[in-house]
Amino acid sequence: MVVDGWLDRLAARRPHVLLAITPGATAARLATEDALVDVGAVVTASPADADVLVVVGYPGEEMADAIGDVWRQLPGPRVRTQVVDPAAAGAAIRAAVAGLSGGGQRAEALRRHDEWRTGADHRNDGDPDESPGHRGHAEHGGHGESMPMPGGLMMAERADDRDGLKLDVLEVTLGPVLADWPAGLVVTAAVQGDVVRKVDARVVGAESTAVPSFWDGADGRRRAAAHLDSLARLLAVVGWPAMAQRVRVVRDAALGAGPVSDVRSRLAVVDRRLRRSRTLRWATDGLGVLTPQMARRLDVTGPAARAADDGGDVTARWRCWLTDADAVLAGRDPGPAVGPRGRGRGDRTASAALLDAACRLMVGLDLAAARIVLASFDPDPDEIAVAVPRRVED
Amino acid sequence: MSYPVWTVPVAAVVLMSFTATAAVLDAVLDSARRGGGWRERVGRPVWEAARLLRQRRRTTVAPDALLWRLGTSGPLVVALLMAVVIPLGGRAVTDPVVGVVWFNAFDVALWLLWWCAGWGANSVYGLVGGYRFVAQALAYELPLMFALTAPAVAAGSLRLSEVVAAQDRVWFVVWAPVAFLVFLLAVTGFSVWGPLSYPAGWDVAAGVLAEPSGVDRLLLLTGRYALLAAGAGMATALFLGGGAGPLLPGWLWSGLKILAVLAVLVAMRRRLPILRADRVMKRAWLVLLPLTLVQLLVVSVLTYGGS
Repeated sequence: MVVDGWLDRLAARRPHVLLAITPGATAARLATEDALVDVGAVVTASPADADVLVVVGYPGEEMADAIGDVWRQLPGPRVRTQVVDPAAAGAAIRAAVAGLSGGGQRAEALRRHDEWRTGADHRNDGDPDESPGHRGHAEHGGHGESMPMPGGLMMAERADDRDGLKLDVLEVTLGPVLADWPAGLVVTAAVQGDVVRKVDARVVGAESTAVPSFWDGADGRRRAAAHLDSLARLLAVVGWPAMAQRVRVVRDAALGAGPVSDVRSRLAVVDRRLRRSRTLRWATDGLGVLTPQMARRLDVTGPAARAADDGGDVTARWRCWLTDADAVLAGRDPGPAVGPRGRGRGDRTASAALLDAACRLMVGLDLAAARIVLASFDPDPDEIAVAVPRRVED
Repeated sequence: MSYPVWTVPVAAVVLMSFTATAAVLDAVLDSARRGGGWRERVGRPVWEAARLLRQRRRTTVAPDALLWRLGTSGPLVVALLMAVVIPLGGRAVTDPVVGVVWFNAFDVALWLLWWCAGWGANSVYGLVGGYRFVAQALAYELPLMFALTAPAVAAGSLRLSEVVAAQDRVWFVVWAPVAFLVFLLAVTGFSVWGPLSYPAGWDVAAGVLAEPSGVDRLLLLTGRYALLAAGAGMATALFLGGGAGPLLPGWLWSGLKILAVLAVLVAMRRRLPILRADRVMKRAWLVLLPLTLVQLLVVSVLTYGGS
């Protein structure tokens, strides 16, 4: 018991947190990220590594199901909490971390009946409808004549691949709970090896999606922060967490009340570092090229459209974010826009067009490249109020 | 020269001290925590370890349990096996005739082990991570082998004590700087660290690290730091003259050099973005590999040209 209490205290000093972010909760997310730093918590990428699951915003029914699946994969000791009001984020996080130690955890552990536990003992008892995919929603049904396999999983089907071979096709669901991923976005990808052959994207709605996007409006600092938020996500996906963190600090400064000149000088440091990085260019050059014609055809506006005139690859897009962020901070308007992602055309929001473009360009790439391409468009799910399914085939 | 058998646990303790140092260094270099003082950071490996000791050991649905356990515990075992041939102050636990090959053989074993760590969990992200390691290993392994050959050729021996002894006048890092740099890069490669942590990429929810939890995860993460430590030890023996140095005793010189190399390896993590295998493969084969071959030629001419 003494040892237990001692371990509890040590372990609670660095809790690992998994964020489940719903669309429309950007303000709550930013407050949560801030609160996590205050308690010394670290954001993690997988449920196996998480102690705390933080649901940000009100999830809709489908999202709530996915969050439930993810929750069942936390090893424990585990705590689940919800942040809706940005002002209450700090208190919620502190309470969650406090809940990690103490007798409650023992009681909860005894009550748990997880599928992964029974799966190991009775391999054939798994119910196919309940098979947890890694991120919750693995839709294993609807595979035609697939044969049930141990653990209730299905066997992969085969199809011709790009080199004329016959390879297994695996349906992988990315999101809605995934680190540095647009809130509530679900991408169902058919992959062969790790090459994406087909993409199907939709946004799993929050409880109510009527609120305007957090990033919209005429405030230049907020628009700059939107670009930096996108950039930080891209850098995290590219695999440069230290740099992503630095960009987030500049983003928070842009959202704060400090002098603009200070934000601009910090941005200039990051800007120089990124543009000089040859290895970053190795990762992003020539990837996901959006031509000006394609941009017009797909109604892409905003920075992504401007980047299309400048090469149109992922590198051009992150450079455009940097340029635009500095321009709006300086009081210049880089182009007509309603929000930071453009103005859209007709009923179609700017983000809907971005998601469409990203999905088209993801096909034929491997998973890593496909995620980078998506992150370089960074559609804002807050803008995509209605879930519009779109399907792109190779 | 070798120590008696009872020094095996001593070598393990030494390796684990360097491993812990690597973990502390990583925490100290982390810029993410604002306002965190030194004590906040230095203690971090302790809290992380406590956390994982307390965490339940989760499995997945229908895992390949045997291969998974092999994969999660393997890297630490490999690091320990590498450590027995690494000389500290001129002496190692054992000094086989083929010391360099011993090291190389175990770094190749990591191909299987990291792949198993990814495959065993029966999860998409782990699987992708495991195969990413194989792709990455295809890029770094041949340059690594030629980088290992350079000091062996220069010394005319595969025995590590003789390689160290051959550096009494000039350290091999002077003759073979390219081999030294390639070796360091390859160490981060087989440790899945920093710019070569593509198999544990954030974009696939940490890949090979996506599913292990509790004590499995603790073993795997410890193994990763231990591999870095073993790599730093080997770099010191092969390129930095082992325990050679003025005034201080040999074991202290070895220790200091290993710490310096380890610090460089750990710091690499924050300097560069991940080098994706699909993007660097071409550079590895068309630039790095010829460079190491030229390096080998230069070393051979310098060594045997005069005689």
